[in-house]
Amino acid sequence: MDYMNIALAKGRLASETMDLLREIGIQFNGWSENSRKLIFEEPVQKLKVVLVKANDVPTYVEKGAADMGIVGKDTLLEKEADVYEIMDLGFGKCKFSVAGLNQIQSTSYHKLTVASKYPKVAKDYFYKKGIAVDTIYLSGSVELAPLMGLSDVIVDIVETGRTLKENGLRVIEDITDISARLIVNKASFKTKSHRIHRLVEDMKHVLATKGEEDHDEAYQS
Amino acid sequence: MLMNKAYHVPEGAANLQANELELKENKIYVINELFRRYGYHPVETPSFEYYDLFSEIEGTIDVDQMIKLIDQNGKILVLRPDATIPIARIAAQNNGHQPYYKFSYTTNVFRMNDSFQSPQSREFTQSGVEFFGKEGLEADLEVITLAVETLKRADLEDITLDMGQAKFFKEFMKHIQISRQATNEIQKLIEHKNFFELEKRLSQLNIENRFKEIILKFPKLYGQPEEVFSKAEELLINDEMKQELDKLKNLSRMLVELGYEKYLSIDLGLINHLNYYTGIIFQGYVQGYGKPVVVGGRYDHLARQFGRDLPATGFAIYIDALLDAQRNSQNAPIHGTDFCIMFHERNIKNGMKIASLLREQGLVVETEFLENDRYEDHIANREGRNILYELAVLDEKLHLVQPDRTHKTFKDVESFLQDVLQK
Repeated sequence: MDYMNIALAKGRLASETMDLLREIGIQFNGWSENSRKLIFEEPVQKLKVVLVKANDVPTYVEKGAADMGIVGKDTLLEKEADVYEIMDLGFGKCKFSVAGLNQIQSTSYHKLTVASKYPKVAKDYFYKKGIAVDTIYLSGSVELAPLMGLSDVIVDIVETGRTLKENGLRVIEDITDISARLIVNKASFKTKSHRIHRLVEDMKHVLATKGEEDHDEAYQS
Repeated sequence: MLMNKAYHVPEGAANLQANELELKENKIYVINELFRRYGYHPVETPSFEYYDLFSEIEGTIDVDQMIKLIDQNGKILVLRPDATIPIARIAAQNNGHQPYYKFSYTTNVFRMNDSFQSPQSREFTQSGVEFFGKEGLEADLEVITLAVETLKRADLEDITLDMGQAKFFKEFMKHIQISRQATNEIQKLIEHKNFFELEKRLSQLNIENRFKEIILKFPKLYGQPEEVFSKAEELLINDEMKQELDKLKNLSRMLVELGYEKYLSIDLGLINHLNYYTGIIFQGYVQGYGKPVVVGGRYDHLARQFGRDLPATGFAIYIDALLDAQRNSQNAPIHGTDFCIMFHERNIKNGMKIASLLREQGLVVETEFLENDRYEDHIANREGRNILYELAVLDEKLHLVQPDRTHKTFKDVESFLQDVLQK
């Protein structure tokens, strides 16, 4: 039996995924959040986990170097990989939002400039609204752009909104909800369908029971 | 040393040499030979065509992906972005009006892919067949079995052939009154098996609930043939859907009867990888490789756009992908040189005579001039050239160095040839 490879986005998503896998009885040798290792094996069921940057997860899966991957919807929207996106894992929840100092002035005569780590998402969103924009790609601290006069607004991931607030920005519009997704290589889905299905069904089962528990708790309080 | 960028191979294209190219040519030869034995005739179309040929044909490839050139008169040309469309033109415009045509091809296809991450993303080789003039199972069966046989002939193992039916979904959607854009969005979500977002998108659309429930089942219509067919039976809302499903069922049963069951899987969520497909479509995968190695299906409306109504079906094998898929499993056999014949200029006649006689036997033979009789130095300088036998043709004798490095001496050309030709 071949190893089945799972690519995980380094960081919190990886930890949450490892927790989920442990709940369905899959434990990886030597895994801990602080480990510097990038590859972990589970020799009984022949599973291998590789930790890569979020942006690279769709690449690994589309090209078949990994059979499955777990990555945020934000990355998938920006990268548009040709893969099956078969499950919403429900964790890693946040939003894509437009933020700025003020409302967008629809009467303004100059072309709107948008700074973002996600230029494609930004462009697609404004394009759908029928607004022509210039996008500026930034690799971090996007909140600075409107403050420094680099752009009118930003498009970014918003979880609690604290970073925006502390820098004097506010959410103008929400674009879409984001959460962690399970993606599968199209060829692997056909050639290893049995194993993939079992894994997916197990995960679904755990997530569904969890969902109910959460629901119950909410009900009681 | 930094190299001038102009000397680099452009991204998305690659040089091929020696073993890799030999392996590729060999695969193409084997594949074309099989096509020939099924009665397919080779065709070749121009490397560049008018842009309008592809942009005006309904449902072809993305115009942004075509690699464009400007003609002398200002017209736009493109490097062949698709193999099938120009061949459909040949079929439609052929004189003589034969009832059907069976064409095969091996050609390079060019696309301006955004992702440069693989060496053959912008220029790649396809070998395939196109069967014009027959509708129905007969042609579908021939083309699909030929696709599997071709992969087997190319030494691929663990093949999965995934079949779908482009019309099954289309016939269903004809009864749903929603915008074209919404239809496309739904189709894309089904093709990505994105069940939860499909559910979300449907909740925003004004569609009858019973239809919504059916649409939600499309992403799950895949797996073993009979299992999928019985699930699909429950979704039929009109005769057209039933007809399309029956076609696929009949084909699948014939394939099972012919012993192809172990390769088969069905996916009714496989709707359309290229918009011109109109019926049964298929993709072939091999274990351990992440991309399809063959893609094909029925496209009954393409020839009509060139003036003649000819139903058609066919497939294309991605030759570079096929080689890539095997790179992991088998080591490329290194084709070395059987003989290297060394001689001084004054013995050129004897040396060349031996070389051409051995070549006639099908052996790979190289020749080399010696400046003096010290041929051992020559041999020592040739490491990595992978030569089996070394023969030094000297004034009075011939020296043969064998693969195990033992020596053998012959007194003249004839005795050497006698010894060698016996083997």
